[in-house]
Amino acid sequence: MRKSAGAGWAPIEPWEITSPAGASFKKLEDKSVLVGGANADQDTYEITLKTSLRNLTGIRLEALTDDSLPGKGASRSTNGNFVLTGFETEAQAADTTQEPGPGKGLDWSGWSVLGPFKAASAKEVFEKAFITETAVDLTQTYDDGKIKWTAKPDWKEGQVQSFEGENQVTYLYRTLTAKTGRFLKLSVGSDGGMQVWLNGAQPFGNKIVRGVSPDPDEIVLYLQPGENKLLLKLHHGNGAFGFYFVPLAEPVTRYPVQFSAAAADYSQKDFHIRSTLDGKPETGWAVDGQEEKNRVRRQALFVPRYPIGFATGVILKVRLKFESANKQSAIGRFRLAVTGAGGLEEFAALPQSVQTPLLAEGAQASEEQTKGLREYYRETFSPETKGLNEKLAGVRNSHKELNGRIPTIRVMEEMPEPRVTQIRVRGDYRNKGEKVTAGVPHSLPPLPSGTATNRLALARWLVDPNHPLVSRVTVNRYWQQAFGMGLVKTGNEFGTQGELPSHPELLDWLARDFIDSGWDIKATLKKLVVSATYRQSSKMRPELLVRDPANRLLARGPRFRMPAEVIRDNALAYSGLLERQVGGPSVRPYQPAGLWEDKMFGGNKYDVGKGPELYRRSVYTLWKRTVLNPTLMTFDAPDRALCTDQRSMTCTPLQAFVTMNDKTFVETARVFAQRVMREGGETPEDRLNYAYKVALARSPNPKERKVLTDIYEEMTVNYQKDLKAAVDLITAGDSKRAENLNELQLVAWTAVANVIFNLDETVTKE
Amino acid sequence: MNHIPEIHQQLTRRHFFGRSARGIGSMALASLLNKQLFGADAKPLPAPAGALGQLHFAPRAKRIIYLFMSGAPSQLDLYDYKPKLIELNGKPMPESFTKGQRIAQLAGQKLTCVGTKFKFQKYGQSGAEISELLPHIAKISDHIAIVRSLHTEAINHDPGVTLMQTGTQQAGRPAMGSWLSYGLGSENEQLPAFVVLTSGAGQDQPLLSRYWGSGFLPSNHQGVEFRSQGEPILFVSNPKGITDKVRRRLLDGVQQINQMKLEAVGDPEIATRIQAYEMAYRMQTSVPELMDIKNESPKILEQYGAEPGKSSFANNCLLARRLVERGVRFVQLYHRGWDQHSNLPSEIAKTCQNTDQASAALIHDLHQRGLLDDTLVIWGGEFGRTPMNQGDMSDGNYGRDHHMKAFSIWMAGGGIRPGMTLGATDELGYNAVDDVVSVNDLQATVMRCLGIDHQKLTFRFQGRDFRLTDVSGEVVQKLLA
Repeated sequence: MRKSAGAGWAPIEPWEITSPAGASFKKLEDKSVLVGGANADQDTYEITLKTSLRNLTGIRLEALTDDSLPGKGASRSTNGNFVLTGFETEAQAADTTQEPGPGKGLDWSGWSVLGPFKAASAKEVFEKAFITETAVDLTQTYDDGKIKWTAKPDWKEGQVQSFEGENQVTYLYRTLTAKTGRFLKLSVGSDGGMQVWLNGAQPFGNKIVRGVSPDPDEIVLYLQPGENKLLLKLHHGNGAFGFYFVPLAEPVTRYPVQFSAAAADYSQKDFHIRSTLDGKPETGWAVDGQEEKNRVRRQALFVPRYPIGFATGVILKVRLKFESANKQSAIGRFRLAVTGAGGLEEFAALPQSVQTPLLAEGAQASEEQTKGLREYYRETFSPETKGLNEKLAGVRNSHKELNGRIPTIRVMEEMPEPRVTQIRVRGDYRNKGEKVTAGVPHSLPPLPSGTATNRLALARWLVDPNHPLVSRVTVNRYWQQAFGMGLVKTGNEFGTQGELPSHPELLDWLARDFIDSGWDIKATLKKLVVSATYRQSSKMRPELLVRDPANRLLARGPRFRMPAEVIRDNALAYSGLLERQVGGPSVRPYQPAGLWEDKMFGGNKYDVGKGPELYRRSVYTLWKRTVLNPTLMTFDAPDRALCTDQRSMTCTPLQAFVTMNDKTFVETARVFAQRVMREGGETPEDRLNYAYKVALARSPNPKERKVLTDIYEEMTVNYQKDLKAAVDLITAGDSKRAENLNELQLVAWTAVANVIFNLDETVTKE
Repeated sequence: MNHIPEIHQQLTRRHFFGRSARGIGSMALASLLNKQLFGADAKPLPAPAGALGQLHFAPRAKRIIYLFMSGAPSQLDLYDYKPKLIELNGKPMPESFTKGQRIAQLAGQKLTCVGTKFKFQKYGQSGAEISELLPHIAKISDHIAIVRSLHTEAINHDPGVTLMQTGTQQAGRPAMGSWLSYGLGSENEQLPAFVVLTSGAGQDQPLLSRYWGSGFLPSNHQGVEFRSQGEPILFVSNPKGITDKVRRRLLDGVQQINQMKLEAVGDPEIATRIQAYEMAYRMQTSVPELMDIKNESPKILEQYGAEPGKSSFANNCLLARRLVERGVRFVQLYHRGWDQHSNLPSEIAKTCQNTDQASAALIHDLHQRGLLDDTLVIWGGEFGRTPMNQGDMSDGNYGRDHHMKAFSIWMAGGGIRPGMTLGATDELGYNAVDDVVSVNDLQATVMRCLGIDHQKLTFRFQGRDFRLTDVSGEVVQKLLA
């Protein structure tokens, strides 16, 4: 590689040089050219080179310093820097009469045809790969063997072939065997578009080489020595469709060279050598020549996509363009060279830190450059260090991954010097008033003296056993959780705007007891739920309903609809699907498609989770405040924009839709049915008892039993007549259906489960 | 208001489809209950109306259609004609206007006047000045009242929409539709009181579900989104394998057992649930029927520019009419696509094309059906756009930034004086100067049309009585018919 980049170059003395702006050129002995004469703002040097070399793989441009140039640099600019904005080359055969026509030195196979493939849209015609386009296999068949390659030995060059159909694609394939690397010019005609693959690659990128046009196009392909594989993809438009193909008798004797890469031993920031190939006059290659230390010989290499060459030698017309807005930035002395050595494309892909020393001649490479080279060698090639480096990269990666898996938790910390805080008068952030410090309201007990007034002091103050404030609010919330309403009904407001407690002594006793228990939440909750008050029947006697509709006096047990999470978790638990894993990141259970995508900026996609993630407790459901989970939201889960200490408890038809139709509930009904069939005994009676016991913790009464048994029997008959519907119902959701159960019984039990899931008693705590 | 009855209501939780008047309520309830199921002696409990037992004024409107132009349309290119701004086109914006002002994305940049490139003309007997971008709305100018002097406190979309919808910039308060659902209850027995329909490009601005959230009000007052793609209401369709007949049979089972439970336990909440399930069943038929606009006459479809099966503002306007016909209290449309910071001339033309015809057709249609008399229609965005240019200003191109000091909206129908233009901005359209209207003023006026004193529809939360208009708002008497 070093050889190809730094050596093996043959400098060529230009045959002719012109400048439209009137620069003059002096050929020097070392085959370089010194530029003089008019120094126009912009200029283009056109240099003609002749060489008998074949298969040129690179052109080198050297910018050389000269004592006669400004600052003894390589540029004609007074600041010593140059900007090469374009590098173009045209290749021409030295003797056009000697170049081979299509027939010479080239063996053609016949055509093979594959298709037509039906595309769903015009876009698909272009974009969809109906076959592996980069590696054609003539033995492969498509569409269950209906489409296969067919040889067309009778097709003649230049003959129009006809096809029919709309929005279709047909592939054509043949091989061309060339004795030497060479160009071939073809004329193709078709009514539609066409894409080309040569040796598995698209020589024209992913472009359509021809659009829809009745006129034939000429395309030029470079054939490598040996076998070349040519694949054409024809795009049918509407109706009858024709195709025509002929290699032109006229040989290729002149063409613009396409460059695939460029490299230089130095590129100024934002003036990379590659920008000489982008066709834009406003970008180009520069070398920081305004600094004296950079006024040295510079080299640039240009790598053609295909080797340049003709049988009789080549004439190159090289155009160096200096069209920068930085005026008079042309190179003052240059030399051109060519090579036939390989590996230049790989060289151009190396990092600059490796290119630079490789391009430096021998001892010219500095210590630092050599070090860079050594490191690159060790990282990339050295058998001793390569393995170690890979291991190091692996360890670094897993370290990064491990770090990524640890969730970030924000922890507050006191500032070393507390910030000065001032009142913002009337809430206006610009209007600063009196300075203030942290403290507690005067009406409440003071902070303990002798400690800093920080968050720790506040925390200690809150749980100070000498006052019941926090404990009282907290036990009131547990009461609310158990009974549906707190002893103080306005659980968020114990102040003057709140209500007085219905049972003040009880509240005080509970508050004190909570403190004395060591703030034991579980013990407190247990105290509530084993109390005689809690265990009363929740039956509502009409006269009590009139006197105390809200049951503030607790003459009966609580009865209220369960919260959203409990309703979903219960259904999962009945079925046995509930995943009891504790902790971990949020999960994404079922949710109708498009909810996030409709509302949010692009890129906000809801990817439904898999397996156990679908069945985790609802507290693990991802909570997106802007688009709430619809299952939970429907049952009054709040959006968390405001602190919600007491949720609404509504009863709406939308809730009926959830428990009747939401995938979560349809799936759990079926899995519950499976459980009932497996574990609930053999007779419908036993099974119904079991279902009731699991879901409602009691047995059905005779009337209920009749309602559900009737449904069970009717559904068995109903689904007998509609087995497809039965399968649809018992395959809802991602969990696998139990295969060994009778389908009709399963679907009928699923229907019964759907009824049970929708009972008032199922979603109500009593 | 006295909040004790509301607490009672919260307990019985029965106002998803609350009733507009007590008498009608019990009649409706009776008709809802399946007589075969419950027999003659089932006693439905008394049903309160919305939280406002009695209105404060004679209502002029019973329902609202709010065409929310999300992203903020440029008033200067649509309703607020400023010849002086055109004259100063390309010249620096006088500093006297902009010094010390809150400016959004143009902050710190050179401020250049940009006049509209669109032609304005006076229309109708009222002589309303309307841009050529809105040829259809121009034709209904005698039906509408244009307010050119609105201003807001918010300079970005989210707080802007939040203020327009909830009366304050902070998230978490109830939306206007929720307040009305709460205060007035529903006029119908098969659809929610507050329905939301959305259209427009999805990339412009996110639409947050809290824009129709019920905040601290009971969550049955939140807006229910009717979607044009997929199921019209989430989970409204039976799952695969359950036919309508099977659903009815299963539902009968649910209702029978719930009825037994009601008899055994006596919890009125069970009666509410029985009722909710009946409504759910009816919605399963009525909602798809409602959303299916195929049965509208070709003439109507053409007037709106609506195409069955498509998701568009035109379809939503037509659906809005169908919803108010069926007694929905508040229909909230959102159309996105107005946030024209750059390339305004070409972009606004597109958005106008998507909205102009259907907006006008809606007014026409409501008028012809006699619904406009008691339906209030509001058209407008969350703020206005600057008289100063933003972005590329070559070849007749320009853009406008967010602007809070002045913008235009229009209202029509129920209680609003038709054919008037209220208020004016200064000569460059920067500040609203005559008959200035704040967002809370607008909300107070809307509530007045519905017969509500905006100071008296309140809800106590965390020790304070909250209301839609927060702590300000005065009814704009000049707008009232």
